[in-house]
Amino acid sequence: MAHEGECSPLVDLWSGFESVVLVDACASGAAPGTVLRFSADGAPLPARGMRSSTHAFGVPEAIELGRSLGRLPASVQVIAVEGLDFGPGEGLSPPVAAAVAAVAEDLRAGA
Amino acid sequence: MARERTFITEYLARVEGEGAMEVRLRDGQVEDVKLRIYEPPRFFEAFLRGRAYTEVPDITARICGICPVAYQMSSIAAMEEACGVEAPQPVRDLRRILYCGEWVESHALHVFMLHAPDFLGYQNGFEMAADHRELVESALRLKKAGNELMRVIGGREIHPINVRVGGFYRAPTRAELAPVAEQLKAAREFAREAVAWTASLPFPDFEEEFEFVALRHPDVYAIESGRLASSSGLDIAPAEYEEHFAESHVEHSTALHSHLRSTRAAYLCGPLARWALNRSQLSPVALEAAEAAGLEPVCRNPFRSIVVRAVEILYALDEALRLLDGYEPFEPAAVDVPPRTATGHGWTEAPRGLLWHRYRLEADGTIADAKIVPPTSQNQARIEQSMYGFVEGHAALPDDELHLRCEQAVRSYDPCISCATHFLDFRIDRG
Repeated sequence: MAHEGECSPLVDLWSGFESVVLVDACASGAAPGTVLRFSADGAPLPARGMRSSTHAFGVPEAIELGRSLGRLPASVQVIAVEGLDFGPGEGLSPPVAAAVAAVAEDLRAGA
Repeated sequence: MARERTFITEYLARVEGEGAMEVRLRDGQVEDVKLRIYEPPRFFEAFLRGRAYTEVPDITARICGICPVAYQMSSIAAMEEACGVEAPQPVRDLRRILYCGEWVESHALHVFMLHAPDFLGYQNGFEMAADHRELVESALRLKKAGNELMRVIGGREIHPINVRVGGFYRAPTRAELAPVAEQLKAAREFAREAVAWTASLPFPDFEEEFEFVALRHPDVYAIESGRLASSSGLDIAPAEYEEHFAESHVEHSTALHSHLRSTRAAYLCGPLARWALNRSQLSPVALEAAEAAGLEPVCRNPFRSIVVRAVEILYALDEALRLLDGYEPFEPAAVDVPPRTATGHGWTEAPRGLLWHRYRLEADGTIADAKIVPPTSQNQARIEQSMYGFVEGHAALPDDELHLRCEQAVRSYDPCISCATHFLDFRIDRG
């Protein structure tokens, strides 16, 4: 399933699931196309790099909200792909597109 | 380490930009307060140049993650003015219902997840959620009802795709709207209780005089259309905005600061302004709840804006249900809006306040230039002034405490996320 915008609705979206893998873009300072993996299973996500807005809950905040409400799935894994260009426009830049394809392949293969 | 931080700030400037507040004190006296709340529209103005006028709802929807409808509606109002077309009543009614959905969603997030935690001594909404589960669950359901209304009418929860210049691509059926009407009804009782609950929060003692600015409509509490009214009696149309209001560049901020040309004074738009100027037009239930909660006719304590937002949530639910009750799908779902060489102006009341757009069009509808003035940008000068006064009265507080109180004060005007997520940069310099 896909979601965009403010992230507090994620708490409802993943209600009832045992295990969630969330894939998102990030801006952590790594080389574009780098794939970073985090587990939300014991501790909050590092906030740096995964902030989305001064005015909305991002992924780390949504996870903590779910945890506080006792509604976080037993396993939440986050795969973050480092973006290159967050300006207006369409499509993914080549290193990011390549990384996303590789992540999708891994997920399909059950990795 | 320092080098790495600079790099990330630059990066974030492309993603969202920085928010920051700097307070300078000397010998316990306030010397300076600088505030910077992120505002995106400047680079969108450049991006819109050369695009077709019909693309404006889809592009402007992406300016704000929590108020896409506001941007769409203001941009459409400007385009329809430019092209000399007035949308028929059924289109205008459906736009108002959609906008009510956004008011519910945006205000619910601000009131419960961003501002209420400040009053109760929590760092953020999820810390509060651990101790106030039922409240937060109810707030999330309320927000969800707003989002669902946006999805059914707009075609998608965020960045509505069913909206176009002239109307919609498709008017939903009554059957499609029935389930969300039930969700709105189910949320009403909580929304009514929330007015009393917000009014029971502990409020800092702080009062100010404001020059309020808001849209005013003869028949309803203005949201998607109206003329502009102010505390000192302004009554103008969208095309007259720039004669009365000016923006100036302030060195420390990427946003422009707005002021009234006549007095050079800063002004305030948003819920407090709407309450002061138009409260008699709220629904009887909303007005009753407001009065029972002790809201005075003019609210001078900005912290009490949380109560006004709760009142507006209740009103938006009532108003959406009222319009949904009489709703009939209509065809065509949009009127033709043939382009022409013209300049168009339009405004609406976003959850945060007045949002004004101006577009200059070429004969074929290509956008020659665009100007977008968002509410938070208009309010920055006045919020900064307010913060100066607030810090003056609280300078003796220890740094940590002052930081928290200042954030709470800023959140009286703007739904920004807590500094605890290290996004808003806050500095106190006592020399």
